[in-house]
Amino acid sequence: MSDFSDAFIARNPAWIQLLGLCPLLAVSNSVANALGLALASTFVVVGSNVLIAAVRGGIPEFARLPVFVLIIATFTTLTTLLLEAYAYELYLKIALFVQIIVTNCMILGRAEAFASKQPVGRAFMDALGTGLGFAVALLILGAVREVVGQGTLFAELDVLLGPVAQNWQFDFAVSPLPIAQYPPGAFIVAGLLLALGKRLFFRRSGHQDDGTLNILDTTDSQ
Amino acid sequence: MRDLAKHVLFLVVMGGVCGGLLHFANAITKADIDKNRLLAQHQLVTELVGSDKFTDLVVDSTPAGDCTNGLLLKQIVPGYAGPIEFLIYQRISPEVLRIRAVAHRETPGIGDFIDSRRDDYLPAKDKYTVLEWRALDGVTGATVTSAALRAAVWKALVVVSEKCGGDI
Repeated sequence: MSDFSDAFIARNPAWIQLLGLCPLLAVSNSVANALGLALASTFVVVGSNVLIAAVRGGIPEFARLPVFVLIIATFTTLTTLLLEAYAYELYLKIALFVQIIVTNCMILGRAEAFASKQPVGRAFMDALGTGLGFAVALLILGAVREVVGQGTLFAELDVLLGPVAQNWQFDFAVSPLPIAQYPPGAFIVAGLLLALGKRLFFRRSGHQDDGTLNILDTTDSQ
Repeated sequence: MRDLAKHVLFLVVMGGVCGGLLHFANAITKADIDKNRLLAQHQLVTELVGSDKFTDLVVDSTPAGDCTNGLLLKQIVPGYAGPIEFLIYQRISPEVLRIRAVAHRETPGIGDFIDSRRDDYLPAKDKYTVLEWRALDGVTGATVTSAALRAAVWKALVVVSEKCGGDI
């Protein structure tokens, strides 16, 4: 498998490795919020992995983690500044979760396991796959929770995409189930989607699922 | 020794590169961020006062306005995850005390009930009298945030009492 598809599917940070669950569950109550965090996370993981790969030869072994965190924090702060300047409404809603991207183990994990050992091109593809894999998981969860919890889809996308998205909202003539908007609903919906994803993936790929998730397996093809 | 010097040089250069990136980003976004913050504050002031007559005033801990039309002031009190900045509007007659959180970092889902963009908790109390504010109970699970809200109200009452007279 290529670095991209490996990171995107086989080692999807959210659905396979269950990493970054705090922002995943907290911010995925609508597609607009999910898209904002998805873009922010992808920007941070791609930017930090590329920079780490570019300077990997000079990073002292004893200062490895502080340097990774410095670089990730820089990209996280950049993202926060850009959001606050150009998407203020969205910033007010998801700012806290953008700021804690710096502690997202998905990003630090890719820096440690891959970017610090690979050339820039491979690190870029791996980061792109990781970021987009996380983004797709966020968007699916956001869409399901918004439809079930609010009875809408693509509501308030204009806070991120501008006036062009003002009429994109779909309203469903169903009674909303508000629990889907709250943390317990996030766990329930995420659990159901995870089970569905595992079922579909293992059936299609012919894998034998032993019913356990090996979330610590971050072995990389090198 | 040579390795150590090389490592130190690398760390200094990395710190400089990261600091430079942030300095550059700050320079190009500062004007827009300031504009957004000011606009958000103006919207909050208009929501609090019910008109835009205060929006041109610079609001800080010194009250803006007067005792007849009402006073608008900012109070910063310690919250659970850092300082909380409240904007408070108080009028003596007819009696009004309204409050909004301008900036905070309280825990989402627990302490963010003070954020009127996410919760109706404070807007629902726009018609509370001073007595009702003083008797305000805490919110379960958000003891520190509730205490911060009560502290901000109390500090505002003291300031307004000093300026306009009357009992707290």
